[in-house]
Amino acid sequence: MDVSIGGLIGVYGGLAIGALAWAFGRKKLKKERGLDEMQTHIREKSRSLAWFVTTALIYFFLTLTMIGIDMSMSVVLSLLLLGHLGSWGITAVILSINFTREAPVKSQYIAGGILLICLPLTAFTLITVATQVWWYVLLGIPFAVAGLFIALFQPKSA
Amino acid sequence: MQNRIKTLRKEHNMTQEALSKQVGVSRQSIVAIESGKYNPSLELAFKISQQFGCTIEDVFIFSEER
Repeated sequence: MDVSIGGLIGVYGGLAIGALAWAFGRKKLKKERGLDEMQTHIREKSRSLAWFVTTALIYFFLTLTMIGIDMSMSVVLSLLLLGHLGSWGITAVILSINFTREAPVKSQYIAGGILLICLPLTAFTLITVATQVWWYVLLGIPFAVAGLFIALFQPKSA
Repeated sequence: MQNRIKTLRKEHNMTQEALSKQVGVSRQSIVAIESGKYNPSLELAFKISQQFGCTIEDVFIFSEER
């Protein structure tokens, strides 16, 4: 049985850093009365959306398995976790900003931004799975950042 | 759901921050409620109305159009 010390450090280190960031965020929000019902609404809505993304990812990986592409369990679980937590965080940020911005929300920019996040990430995930080179999935990050930027900072109408 | 919070706030010389403190939510929540992007719970709607000495119907106007 091989024990991956680096993997264990990464998994539990990531968990510890995430838990600390979560606790720090809650403490800061509490100071500004931020843990209110709208925050709860945003958190629940984004968690619900994250489960849609996770369901789509599960179907995506099942399809890959059915067409004969082999994947290791750790890669699949890592990508599922990344997709779930990432979509949870991203949708929470988008919802928070759109609730509090003065200008009306332009749904076409949100849809465009989400597409720019999802499509390259899906494509690079496929490339990662096909080539077994894990870091190819990271190439989707610049597109995801651009998509997030478009969804959040929508250009003003002329 | 439309509301008259901004008007009532100005009539009472109240800032968003002051109102948010009095009803126990963040200023961002008041911004979202004022702009009609977030519909508050019945409890919060009561609290906001009480701050202005009004009934809920005086502050929040129900309209079926979305």
